[in-house]
Amino acid sequence: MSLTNSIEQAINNKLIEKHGEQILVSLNKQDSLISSGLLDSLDFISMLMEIENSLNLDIDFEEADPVQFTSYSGLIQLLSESANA
Amino acid sequence: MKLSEKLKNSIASHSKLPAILVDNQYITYEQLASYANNINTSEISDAEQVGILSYRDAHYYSTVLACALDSRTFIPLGVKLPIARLASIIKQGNLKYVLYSKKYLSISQALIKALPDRVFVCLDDIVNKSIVSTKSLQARSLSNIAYVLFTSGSTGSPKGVPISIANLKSYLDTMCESLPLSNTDKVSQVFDPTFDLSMHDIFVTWLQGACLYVVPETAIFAPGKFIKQHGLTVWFSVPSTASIMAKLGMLKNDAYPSLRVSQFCGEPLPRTLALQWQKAAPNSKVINLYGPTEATIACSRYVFDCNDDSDSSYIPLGKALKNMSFDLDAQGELLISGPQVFSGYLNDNIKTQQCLIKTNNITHYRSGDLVKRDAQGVFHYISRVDDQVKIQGYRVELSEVNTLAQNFLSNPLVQAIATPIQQPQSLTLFICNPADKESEQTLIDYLKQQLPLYMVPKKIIWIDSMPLNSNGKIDKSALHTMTEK
Repeated sequence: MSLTNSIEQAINNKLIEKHGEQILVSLNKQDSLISSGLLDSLDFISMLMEIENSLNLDIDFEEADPVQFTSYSGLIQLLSESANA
Repeated sequence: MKLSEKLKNSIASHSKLPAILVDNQYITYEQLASYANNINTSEISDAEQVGILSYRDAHYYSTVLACALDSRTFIPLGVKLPIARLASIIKQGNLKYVLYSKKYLSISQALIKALPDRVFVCLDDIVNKSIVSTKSLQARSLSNIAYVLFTSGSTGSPKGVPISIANLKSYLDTMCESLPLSNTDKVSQVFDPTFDLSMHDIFVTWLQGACLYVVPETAIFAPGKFIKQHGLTVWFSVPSTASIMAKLGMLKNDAYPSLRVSQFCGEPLPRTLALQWQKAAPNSKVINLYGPTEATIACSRYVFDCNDDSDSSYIPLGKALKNMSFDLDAQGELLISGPQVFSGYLNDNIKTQQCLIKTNNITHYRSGDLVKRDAQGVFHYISRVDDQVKIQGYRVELSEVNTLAQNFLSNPLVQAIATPIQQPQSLTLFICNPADKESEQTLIDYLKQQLPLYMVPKKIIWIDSMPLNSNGKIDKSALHTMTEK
């Protein structure tokens, strides 16, 4: 499985754990997961920490815009980039 | 000089300078004052107190300024609170008028249904237009209360904390003296209006002609980029925000050279985090503030020194602010006295008598915090005397959650705890008697209708028997152990 797929899988798992399988169907991938109420900031951080540990990434969001990195697609992109950097 | 006079002077001397950046727009002191004047001459002109149903938008700040200039009490109404709780606050606060932003029309409509005798005025209709009220302007009695905030109450409903203009002025005089700002300072505003630390941001900034930078909702959670983009010079947040920034890689060495003052308040500040912040903001003083809402925003401070080799894991509370005094009772509970101490809860003499005690003609506020004083006279936090906890800076009485859950389930064996024990982030509710388990979702739904979201338990754990300590009380440390498994 590619890294991007693994990241996607980890986010899916967290969303399913909170909201059930059907959440992935109705999900708007550009919306902030936090503003839309799907995850609160604690869920979001704990999910990031899990991804960081299990995929051995080093999260660096220093220059990142929260509007971008809290969305489903933005997060996957940023995490994939920080792994390749 | 009166607080309103001081504000007027500051507006006059900084009229063309920006008072605030909010929703991507700078508003000058002159402009903000004209918005405030439009509010004060509208149909609320004779109201002694108003509720504000808006959230960190230009309307909200204009209304706060309007009230401060015209000695009118304001009560911030949290737009994220359930309708039942808002209605209870409006009733307790005896609010005839509620000013709302159009954005919260649906909340105000729900409130009108529940409280048909109150007047709801849309701020969008009055802020920009100067429509002088058709009512004859009658002399009204000026309020001596600046604002009322509602905090978690142990009996199941929120309790009102009125802070007088004199209380607020005493705090602001001390702060403006110890934290002088210039008209080039850029001050953060991240706190929720229902949290009194937001009053610090607003008034300390405006009294000194600086500019308030309202961090957008989407950036509050991770404000690193916002601080850099605008070159903020003064930061103020709960330690939890800094801790999230650390986890996101936003506290790298020298990340925020523009900051010259960084303040934290609302919950214990871990030493490792203070050090990390100091390295990220090398030109900044790092200051820990402490104080209950009842003693007006904050009443002690400690300036962090990264060369201090103390082995305590948290930064001390520091020493009492000028004009304030700290004493300890026999149990080690901190007693606070001085001009910032409030005069009692709204409509609740019993609670007032429990927390305000008079000795030698001096009124002391019982803080409920057990502290110790070290050889240098610096105060350190130990623990609470009761079951109040802090969730990301918000005060929560565990018994308020317990009472609501007990009544809903008709089951006395219910106990909420704040987890994780070191730096609580959310509540976990233990319920004994698994037979009720199918009511879990309805209980959560009910609590959501009654409580702010940070008070709704994130996790419910059903247990066969409630652990008791040797006094026959629920053993909370045993419950904490269960959550750590």
